[in-house]
Amino acid sequence: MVIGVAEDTGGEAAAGQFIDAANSTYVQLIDESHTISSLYNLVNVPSTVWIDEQQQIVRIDEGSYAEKHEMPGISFGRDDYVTLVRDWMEKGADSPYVKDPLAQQHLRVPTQDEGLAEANFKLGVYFQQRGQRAKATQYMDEAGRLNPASWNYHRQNWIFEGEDQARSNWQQRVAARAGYHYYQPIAGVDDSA
Amino acid sequence: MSVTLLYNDQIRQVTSREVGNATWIPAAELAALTGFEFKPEGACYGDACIPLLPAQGKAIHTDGEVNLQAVAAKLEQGLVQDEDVISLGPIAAVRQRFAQGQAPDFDLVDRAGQPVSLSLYADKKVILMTWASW
Repeated sequence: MVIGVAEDTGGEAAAGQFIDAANSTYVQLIDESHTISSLYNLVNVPSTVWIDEQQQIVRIDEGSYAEKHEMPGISFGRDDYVTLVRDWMEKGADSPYVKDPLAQQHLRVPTQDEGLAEANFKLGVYFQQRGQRAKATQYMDEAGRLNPASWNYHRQNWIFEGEDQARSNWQQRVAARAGYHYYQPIAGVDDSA
Repeated sequence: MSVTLLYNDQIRQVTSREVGNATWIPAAELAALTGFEFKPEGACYGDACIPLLPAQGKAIHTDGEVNLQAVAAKLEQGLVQDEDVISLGPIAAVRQRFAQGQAPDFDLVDRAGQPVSLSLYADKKVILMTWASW
């Protein structure tokens, strides 16, 4: 079973057209308050969690692209991601791709700063959805300060600024964080800038 | 008086009583929002209870009301307030199960308004995949 989740405070208006275009047969959800990223400690999209029949998490990947992407100063994803998923579907717990130590790093309780960041972000979402831009930005900025690793926070915060400005913000932030991982690391993928 | 509480994907307006910097709300409202209940054993989430000392207990929970700020401090829960809107962060005790590898359940609705929870797909392998338009 595949469950696709759009992390979009803009809801149907922001994400609906992409879901229509994908015309998928699997479950598609729009998660306006980023509940899934919060619950699963995810800091970026696309991210994928592998959950077995006992509802145990056997792998978490960030940057789970279907192919490798190269951009100036940064690369992410891998060409064989679908192969990995198929291997797990066939072999279950015997697949070499489950219980990866790097992927298991996600499985921890949020730190105090991460928890406070989440509370700030949710308040920012509340104001963003009510068109209160100044307050939305104030609380999303604070969330990004408390948990700078969360690209979800930064990028959701930039939607008021338009696509060109958001891209420029992103490029500047990637450059400013040279040597950091754009996605939390997964085995076999080095995305450090 | 009333306050609007944000927790996970929930938005809940509850009656409140302000005393200094503290916000007291009905304990049943907090239980409905976060799942935490106050029992003689302490602040409990299911079978797991965080004990409260008698003096501490009264500052947190009395006569069917709870002090939101004191509860949050006790549960190490981030709390941010903007006038009458209070946003509550994750509760470490609740996230403990995730840290042990259990997939957290969620209650969302699909575009047709049908509820979707992870628990609907127990006994299947699930690929839970996030993306965004931004």
